[in-house]
Amino acid sequence: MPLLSEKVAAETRQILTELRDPVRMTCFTQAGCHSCGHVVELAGEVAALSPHLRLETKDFVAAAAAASRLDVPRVPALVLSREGEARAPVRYYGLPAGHEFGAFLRTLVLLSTGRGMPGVDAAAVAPIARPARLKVFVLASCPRCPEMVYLCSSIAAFSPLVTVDVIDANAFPDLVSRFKVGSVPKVIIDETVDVLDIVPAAALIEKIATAIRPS
Amino acid sequence: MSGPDFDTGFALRAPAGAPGLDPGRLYDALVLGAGPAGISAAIYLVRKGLATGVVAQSLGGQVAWTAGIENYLGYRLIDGAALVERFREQVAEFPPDLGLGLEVSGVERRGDRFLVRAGGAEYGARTVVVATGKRPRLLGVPGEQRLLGRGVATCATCDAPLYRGKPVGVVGGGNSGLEAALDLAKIASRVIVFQDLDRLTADAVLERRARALPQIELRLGSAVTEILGEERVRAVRVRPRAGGAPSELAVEGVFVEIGLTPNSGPVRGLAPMNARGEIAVDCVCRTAVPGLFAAGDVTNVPYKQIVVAAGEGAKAALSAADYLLRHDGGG
Repeated sequence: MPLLSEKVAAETRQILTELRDPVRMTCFTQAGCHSCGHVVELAGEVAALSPHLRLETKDFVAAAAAASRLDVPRVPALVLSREGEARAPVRYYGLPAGHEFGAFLRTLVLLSTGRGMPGVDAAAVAPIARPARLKVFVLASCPRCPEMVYLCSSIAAFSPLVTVDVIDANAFPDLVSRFKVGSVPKVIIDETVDVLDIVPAAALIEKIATAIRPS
Repeated sequence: MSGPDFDTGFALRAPAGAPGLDPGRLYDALVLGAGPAGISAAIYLVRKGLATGVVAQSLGGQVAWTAGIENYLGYRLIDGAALVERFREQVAEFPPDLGLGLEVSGVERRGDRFLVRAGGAEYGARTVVVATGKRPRLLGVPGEQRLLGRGVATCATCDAPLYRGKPVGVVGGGNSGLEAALDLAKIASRVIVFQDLDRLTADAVLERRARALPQIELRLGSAVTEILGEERVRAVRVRPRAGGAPSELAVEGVFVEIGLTPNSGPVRGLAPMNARGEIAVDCVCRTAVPGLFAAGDVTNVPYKQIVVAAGEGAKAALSAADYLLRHDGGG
């Protein structure tokens, strides 16, 4: 039985009609990973709903070089990039289910069309002058999380210096413990600065720009 | 066993056919906020044929964060996110110019017009309907700010799964407090509800459900005076209302559900407000400023309910339309 119901698949197909340029989804899995199956299945079902989506599934161990090149340290991972570009601005760790699914679809549209969060464009992200890595902790049950995921993904789409890891807090309790996540959405900038809840685009961009320390 | 759910809804997705906001356009009405009051106002204004814009952080407001809604007319039980989808579908029938993902930073009156600043741009309008809602209020006790996001939370719907098998506290014995406790009881090992009054203020139906669950403990007449922990919440300090020594109770999460504070900042200094910061309106949603209207939770209208907010939004829109008819000949 497919993961997406007929109704959700129809809604998804409709949203994906907005895609313009091809988007690549690279899915990393590993033998013995219980949650990997659902991610592969979902990616396959979504990819089948648009001719603009390219899906590639890789074994985390066998394709260790590719995982390293795409900076993927754990599974299940779903790496999103514009087709033909080496840079991958957004990585999903865990299944983008529940409320996260809507943000996942909008991120595909964002990467394909360049249309993202209002107020986020190349000029808006210009103050970010050094590389930054954002970790966005989310839960499928959290209706507030997609806004922050979309905002972070929009920033990463426009700034070649920013990458985003969207982390399902349910799937990675070790990261929840390490980064002391007690509520979501929570953004961690470069493993040093916490941003809680929903903040306006300009405020987050400023935090990223000022949080980045000289290397 | 059922598989995972997938929701294509997205608070920042504009309804089909809704154009974006245009800084070069003078709107008949700009609605600030897209919760039930704002959406209702926008639908009424568009249906009147008025040039209408909506500026909002996201679609749905607090409704999107609500788990089960049992008292909105036409639905026996509906999830907040699903109700927002119904709102979105209705807005698609009567689309205003929509600016989502924008925070309003200020509203200024210039002559007979208003200037609304949001997301680095300025938008002009003949009338403004403020429907910016409320946000969770915090306790203001030691430890709370420091541990916010590290065990102190304000959204049980969002965060409950992080407290699986752990003891948690809920501060507040009103509807929000008991709804949070009921949500958490499905996941947490123990849920202690702290209410500083000697009685609960929640609806009887919620109280009945809470009292029926053995994992929920109601501590009436108990005020949380401090939240303890270094990097994570480990306990709360509680003072009995009747007197006596404060005690410490071990919890790993504290959900603060003591009400809301109005998002009235953008019109502070422009529109009169009450002591709680709510915008003062008359019975047809007029503020003291001609052409400035307000509706929903951000106003001094009592009973913060979705159905009340939707009705107030309709009233504000009709008042704005009436104002335009009298002052501008309908725009």
